Formats: sequence, structure tokens, C-alpha cells
Amino acid sequence: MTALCCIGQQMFTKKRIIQFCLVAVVFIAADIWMYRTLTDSFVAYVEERNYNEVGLFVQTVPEDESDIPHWLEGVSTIIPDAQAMYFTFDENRFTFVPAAGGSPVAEQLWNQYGRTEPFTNALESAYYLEAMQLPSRYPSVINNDASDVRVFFAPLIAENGYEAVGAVMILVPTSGASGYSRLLAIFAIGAAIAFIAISWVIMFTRDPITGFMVLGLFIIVGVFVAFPLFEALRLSFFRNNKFSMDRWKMGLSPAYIVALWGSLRLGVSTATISTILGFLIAFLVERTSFRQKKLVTTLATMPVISPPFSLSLSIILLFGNNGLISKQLLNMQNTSIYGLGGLTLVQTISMFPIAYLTISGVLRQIDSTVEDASLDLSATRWQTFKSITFPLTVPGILSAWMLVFTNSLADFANPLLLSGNLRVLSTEAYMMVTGRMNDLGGGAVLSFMLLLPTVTAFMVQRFWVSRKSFVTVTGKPSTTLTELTTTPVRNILAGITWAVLGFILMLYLTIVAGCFVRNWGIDYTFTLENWKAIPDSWDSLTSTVLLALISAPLAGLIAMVAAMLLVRKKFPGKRLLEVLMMTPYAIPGTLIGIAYVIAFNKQPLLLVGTGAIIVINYVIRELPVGLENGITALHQIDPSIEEAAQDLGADVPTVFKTIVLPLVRPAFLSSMSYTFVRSMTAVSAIIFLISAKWYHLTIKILSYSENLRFGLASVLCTVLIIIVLGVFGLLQILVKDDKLTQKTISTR
Amino acid sequence: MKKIVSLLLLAVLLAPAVFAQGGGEKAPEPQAVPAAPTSAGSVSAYTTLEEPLAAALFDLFEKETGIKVNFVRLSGGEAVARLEAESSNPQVSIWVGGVGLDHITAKTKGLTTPYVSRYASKTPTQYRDPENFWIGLYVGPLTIVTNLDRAKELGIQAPTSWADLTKAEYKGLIRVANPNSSGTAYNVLTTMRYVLGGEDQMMDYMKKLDKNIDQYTKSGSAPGKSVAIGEIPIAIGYAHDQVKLKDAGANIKIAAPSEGTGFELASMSLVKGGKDAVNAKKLYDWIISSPVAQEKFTEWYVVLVADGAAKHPEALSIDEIKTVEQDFAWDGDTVNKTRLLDRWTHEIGQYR
Repeated sequence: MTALCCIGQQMFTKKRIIQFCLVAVVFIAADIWMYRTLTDSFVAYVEERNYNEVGLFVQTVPEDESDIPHWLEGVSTIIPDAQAMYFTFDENRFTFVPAAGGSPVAEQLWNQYGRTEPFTNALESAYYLEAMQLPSRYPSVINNDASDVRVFFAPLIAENGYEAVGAVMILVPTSGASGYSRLLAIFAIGAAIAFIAISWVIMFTRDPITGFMVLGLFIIVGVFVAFPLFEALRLSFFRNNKFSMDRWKMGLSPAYIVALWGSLRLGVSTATISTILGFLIAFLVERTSFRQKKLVTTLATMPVISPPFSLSLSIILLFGNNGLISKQLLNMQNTSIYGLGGLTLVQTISMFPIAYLTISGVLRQIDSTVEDASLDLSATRWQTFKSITFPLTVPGILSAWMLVFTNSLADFANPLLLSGNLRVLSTEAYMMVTGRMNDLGGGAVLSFMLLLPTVTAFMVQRFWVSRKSFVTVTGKPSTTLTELTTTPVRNILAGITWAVLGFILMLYLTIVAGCFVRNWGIDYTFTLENWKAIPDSWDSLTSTVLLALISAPLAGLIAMVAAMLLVRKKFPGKRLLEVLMMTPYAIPGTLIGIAYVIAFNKQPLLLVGTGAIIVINYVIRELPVGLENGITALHQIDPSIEEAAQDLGADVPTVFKTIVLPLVRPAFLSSMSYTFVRSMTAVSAIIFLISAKWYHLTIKILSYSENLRFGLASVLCTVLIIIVLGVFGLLQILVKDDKLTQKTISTR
Repeated sequence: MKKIVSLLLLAVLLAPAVFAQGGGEKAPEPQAVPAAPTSAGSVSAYTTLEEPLAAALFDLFEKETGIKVNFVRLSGGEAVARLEAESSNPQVSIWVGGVGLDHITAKTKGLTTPYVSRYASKTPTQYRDPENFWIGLYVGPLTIVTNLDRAKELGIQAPTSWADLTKAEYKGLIRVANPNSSGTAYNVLTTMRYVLGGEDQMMDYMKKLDKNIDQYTKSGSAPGKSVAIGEIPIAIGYAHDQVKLKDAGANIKIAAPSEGTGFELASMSLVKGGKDAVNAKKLYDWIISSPVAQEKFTEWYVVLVADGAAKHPEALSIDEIKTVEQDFAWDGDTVNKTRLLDRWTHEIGQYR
């Protein structure tokens, strides 16, 4: 610690500090001067233009006095949002009198300020046939927005050419110019901050390149994680540009608390059942003499990498009210797959692999010697399990429960198809934005309500449960495995496992079968015409694949660089950076989607509707997984190799390129394949970000499913699964690393 | 070998990042000068028409004019939400289809722009916005559709009036959409207000109806399709959706409620600030005037409002049934809509 202080002191010499302050002051002064000049000249330009337009407008006054009110309204087509009022010249009283028919806003302003000197001066000028613009701006309310206006007075000249028959007062709002100056202000401040940060890094850090990389990462997470969330939060507190708790009141009203409760119920039931199932299968595979481990792992991983609602689709096809099994084969009446039961079933099947992989990782590390010792002391198998094996697994079980819980809460696609009468927050938020209410702020509120349980569960899992690792480390792990189960018990476990996996396989086969059926539920004739969906959706297919391919290497690279910095370097704000980069994992997809739409639909970051926003979204959402992979991989590499390289004169990028990257290649490839898979199957965030040019395939599938065009949906689903399996399988072969499948944590 | 394969794979994965153009850039191009008009080109559109109908229609347009239509199919509410989110940088130039009420909402939010087409006079004035922000394409009455096979199994009669639907024998057998997300279902609310005479009477009716509802779907046309495949015996939906399914072979009965029913006026608007205004106007004109377009529409059993447009013999026209007088402006006004929907959500929706 003291060493660090000394180093710091060496950097913070008086000379350097003075240099830095000088440079900063000079730059900021220049910045402000540029900003001022640009704003002022633009405002002057706009006002002069308005002045000319007012002059031109006044020349178009109609002959007939009764037409004047209608003509006055026309001023807003020439100058947007301008308001006008008309005065007639009363020859008897020798003054201008306001006439009826003007805009209420103008009349209100006149009532308020008409007696003041600038106004009387202006009227006097009108008498002398001179147009005039009042020197100061006045506050006013236009279109329910408070806005400053500039006031113009122009005379209406009689035909004889020397008399004023009236005058027109025109209010021109200055908001147009203020939008521009706001933009300039953002750039000016941004430039100042950037310059200061860069010069700080150059002057005060030992290793500027690391400093820049850290800065870069902070900027990325700041702009693309913190900023959108902040904007969404801000919008939820405003209605019509005024602070209001309306939306939060609505969100916390019973109507939506019901939905929150529904989400929680669903989450708890899914998490519990998945954990139990995952534990049973993991135990079977890791702690018994079960043979087909590879097969089980492969089959169990499938639901994780396929589109989130493909299973919902096949469940409806098989068990819906007119499903193949429920109606045709079993003739079940009055049982409905919709609602809590069906959703839990589908979510469990989709998410138990997460529990399975988490628990199996923990179970694998338990050393049998402890169990042997217990058995030697004549405990029964059950006692050994109860008091030794199970307690050691508890952290893993808790972790698994939290992870599945988080996933279930954030799940959007399955409830969309299957929720029936159960209301869940993820779909409610979506409907709030896209339904009759069109309320982005309301959607944000509902998504934030969902954020609370997911972030809590995530934080608990990450910072408490995972730290309490009870796994034994005895120095020399024994290679033999004590079998704690008798053969009948093992057979029961195996039976359950095969039943579950068989069910999963059947669901996937249903999707494939659905491609060849003309009209599932009515007409089961074999047909190939559904396959026309592929050429019809070709654009959508290519754009989806393209975006996924672009984001995969980007995410992988950024994650690896971040991992290296977080593991090997010390810098201020390390904890904060880690938390910021990992948070997107806990944020529900709908919240990120809504936040991005709110934050990036105005200058200077106008990204809504482009492909860029989708790529950024993918990258940010996958960074946590890649980061985790990278950190784990780096922990296993001895830093002395890198130190040797640095001693020989390599700088940080060279070390990264020649030492780190080749050694973490499996982790790098695995996070790339992961990003690709999850980008191809994304739904919840993407649904807000698609546009005509970038129409994601999963949204198309969803739209077909909702409209019960199951044949087309099945075809596209199958194509998607084939592409994803292909890429994933290819990378598996390349890496041939068991641990590849271990880091399968995923959120939709 | 493995190294070569992995290098090749990396190259394949990274190549698109190098070659990706057209939309992959981070900075949007500032639209300082409108693009010079070209003879062909493209136009971006949102459509609320059924996806296959839209695809076929826009294909025909492209064949005739060479202008490519890039479209996204969105439900009415989604389209309004998108247009609002994109209002400072509109991504599309025209919005085709969708319940008229949504177009009125878009108009009040300042998202659309008026256009008086040279062919607009062919459309009767009651089906056009007096200020020319939107124009009606077709009308479709709300109907009750029953699957006769399931009805026979369950031993029930097909309902033929709004009052019928609240009978106890239909408990759990009716499906309709959620008015918060579907224009169809919102139209049911507004229709009942006209049929029964007031908001409170309408809410009472909806509560009685709620007892017979199996579930509220998200999409307005889904209940009808569920009836066609036999998932549920009874649904409420627009006539053209149901006639299509009947012609495809589903054994269903389509009935217009005897007390009188409401109808939708599917409409079209130009988007304010759209980038391809000229091509959008060409598409607009083509849709309301071209006989080719009209023929394609009739294949989908909708009843077009333009003078002289053909009608499919099987289609159900509003001239043939009893309708209620609807005040679109009132129904589409945001204040009224929010109030009705809030009431529905708080008095019915939240108890599901």
C-alpha cells in the first residue's frame, strides 16, 4: 500500500500538476469561447430569418377584415408554432385596439405585458409604419410547453400608402434554436471532459495505454449501460415534461402488483422444480457410475441454445386445446396448458440445464475421500449423503436456484404465447409500450419493478452464495468415486433423466414435424409448401445472421480485453467497472430494450432504427458471460509468462495479442459462439429495436406463432435451430474442451 | 489441420465485420438535402395488414412500378409506439392498414402528415379524415364466430347477439383479445357503449361477459383462428378474418350481432418526416386506386370503401347487416381511450 503511495507521489509532482491545470484551463476557455460564438451566431441567424418571414407574411394580409382571424392562424404554417394577434387602429382614440380572433396565447401575453414600455414603443413604431422586434424574450406557454418567445410587431398599411389600418403582433418561439444550442452544449462539455480525461491519463499514469483502455471501457459501459438506464428512470418520473409520480403510482397500483406477484410465483415455481430436476440429473451424472454422460450433457444443453419460444410452440401444438396429444390421442377436456402450469412446465424444461450445469460443476469437485471416511465410520449411504454430500452442494443449489429465478423473471417470449390468464410483468411492460397506451415511461416503470427482484437475486448469488464455497480441497484429489447410490436408486434416477430428455427430444421433433403439416389442428396432410417461408424471409434471415456475426467477435474481443485489465491491472474504479459490466446480465431484456429506445432516439446519439443499436445491444448483453469466461481462464494462467514478455519490452497490446489471446483461446471462442447463439435467438430486447431494414427472424417467428401460422413458424424455427447448432457444434469440435459447456448461463 | 480450420472460421466470422455496409455504420447520415428523385427506388413502410396480404400487395406494387417496399408488420398499437419513438428520425414513410382509431391517435400525436391524393375523391367523405391526415381502405364489421363441431360436442347453440354472449351456458367458452393491446377488442368496448347507450352500461356488460371469457389474447385476430382450429368454440372478431378461415374449410358460423354492431375502418397515413415522400405517395395512390390492388384485397374478403371497388361474393358487407353509429373522433381521442382502458384494466383486467 505504501509502495503504491510512493509511486503515486512520483507521478503527482508539482510540475506535472501545474502543467495539467494550465492545459486544462486553456482548453476549457477555448471550448467555452467556441461554444458561445457558435450559439450566438446561430441564434442571430434564426432571428433574422424570422424577422424576414414575419415581414413577408404581413404583406399577405387579406382584403376582407373578417378573413383576418383565419389568416392569422396561417402564421404557424410559415413559422412553426408561431402565434399571432391583430390590432385595429381606432382613429377616434388614436390608438391600436386589440381585435378578437387572435390566438389565445398571444392575447394572454398582451394582457400581461401590453402596458409595458417596449410594447407601447412597438405600437408607436407601427403607427409610423415601421416593423419592430422587441429587444427581450418573454415567457409563454405553447402547446402545453413553457417556451420563450420573441415578439414582433408589424404594421398593416392601408392602400393609400401612408396610413396604418392595423398592426399584427407575432410571437415566435425560440425553442428551435435552443434545441441546437443544447446539442452544441453536449458536444462542448463532452469535448472538455474527453480532453481532461485523456491528458490526465497521459500525464499521471505509468502506463498510458492501459489508462486509455480502461477509459475506453468506462466510456462504453457509461454510454451504453448507465446512460440508457438513467434516461429510462428519468422518463418514468416525468409526464409531459413535468415531474410527476403518476406512472409510479400506476405501476404500484393493484392492477400491476398482481402482475408482479404473477412473475414472482412463476419464478419461484420454475426455479424450485428446475433445481430439483437439475440436482437429480447432475447427481446421476457426476456421482454415480452412469455411463452416457456426454449424451446427457449434449441433450440437456439443447434447450439453452434454441430459440426461447420454440418449446412453447411445440407444447401448444401437442398439448394446446386442440393439440395432437391432448385432443386427438388422449381426448382431454377442460385442461388447459395456458397459465401457471403450462408456463412452469415450459420454463422448467428451458432452464433446468442452467441448474444442471451449475450443480454438476459443484458436484464434480467434491472429493470422495470425505465420503469414504464417513462410510468407514459405518454411516449408512443415506446418512453420508444427508450429512456430507448434500451440505457441500448447498451453495451450488442456491446458486442454481437464483440463476433460474432471474432467468424466469426476465423471460418474455414464453409468457407471450402461453400465459393465458396469468399476468406477468415482462409481457405487461411490453403491452404498456406497444398496446393502446403507447406509454414508454409506463413500460419503463414496470420493467424497473421487475429489475428489483432480478438484481437482488443476482447480487445475492454473486456476492454471497458463490463466496461460501464449501468444496473440499485436500491437495491430492482421489480419482475414485464412491458410489452412494444402490442400483435401484440409480435406475430410478436414470429413468427420470431419460424421461425428461426424451420429452425434450419429442418437443423438438414436433417442431420439425410442424414444418410438414398444412394446418396443424385442422388439416394434418403432408405438404412442402410451408418451406416457402424461407425465400419469403430471406432478407430477415440474412440480416439476423449478419448482425450476429458482427457482434460475436466484437463481444469476444472487448470481453477478453476487459478480463485482462480486471485480472492483471490495478486501477481506480476497478470494482465499479466490474459491477457495471456485469449488470446487464441481471437486467431484464425488456428494460434494456425500452431504455435503449428512450435514450437513443434523439441527438447526439440517434441510433434507433439502425443496425448499430442492435449490435451494441447484443454486445452489451453478452459481455458479462464473456467476461466471466475470460476471468476464469486468466486465473488459471500464471502471470509470470506475461511479466517475462513485459520485461523483454512488450507493451500491453503486444502482450495481449501474443501471450494472453492464444492462451485464453478456448474461452475466447466459447464466448464468441455464445454471443452468436444468443444474438440469433434474442427476443425480449430486440422486439423494441427492430426496423424495416433489420427485421430479426425471431420476431417473425413470434408473429407467425401468435397468428397461429404454425407451419411457417416451425420452418423458420427449424432453420434457426440448424444454423445455431451448426455454429455451436463447429466451435465445440474446434476447441474440444469440456469446460466449454460449463459456462452456460443465459438470460433471454 | 485444426489450426487451419480455426483460422478459416475466424476469417469467416470476422469478414462480415469488414465488409458490412449499409446500416452497419454507427453514425446516421444527416438528411440535409432531400435525395434527388429516381425513377425506381424504395420506400419503407409499417403495415398492420396481415403479413401475407401485405407481402403479396407490395410485390404487385413492385412489379408494376419497380419501387421496392421494405416493410415491417406491426400491430396497430405497436406501430403508433414505434412512430412516436422514432419521431425525431422517422424510419418509414407510410403506414398501411390498421384500425382507423390508431391512425387518429397518430394524428393527434403529430406523427402523420396530411396528403390529398388525386384519387381521394373516389373514397366517400365519411371514410376520410376531413383534414386529410388519413384515408379509409376497407370496413369490417365485428362478428361472433362459432365452431359448429365443438358447439355440437358441447351441446350449445351458436350465439347470435351481444346479449346471448352473456348467457351462463357459454361460461369459459368465449375468447376475445385484450383491449389494451388490440384494436379489435377496443372496438368491442366502443361498440357496446353505442349499443347500450353509456359507459357504465358498457362496463357492466363487459363484466358479465368476462365471466364467460376463457382468456384474453394479445392479438385481435388470434381468437378467430383459435375457433377455426377448434381450440375454443366462440370468439369475437372482424368479419373478413373469419370469412377467410371459413372458405379455407373450417366449419364455422359467422353471425352479426342482432342488436347492431360496430366496425373498423382500416386506414392509411403518410408518416411525417418520412424520407421517401414521393415513393410513399405513389404507393398511397396505387393502393386506393389500382384495380390490381383492389383485386388482391378482395381475395382477403375485405370490403373496400372506394367507389366501384369489387367485392368478394362471400365477404360480409356492412350494408347487409345492422350497424351502430360510431363517432370515430370520440373513440380515438386519447383522453377517452385512456379512461376506458384504465376502467377496463382496473375493473376487469387485473382480476384475471
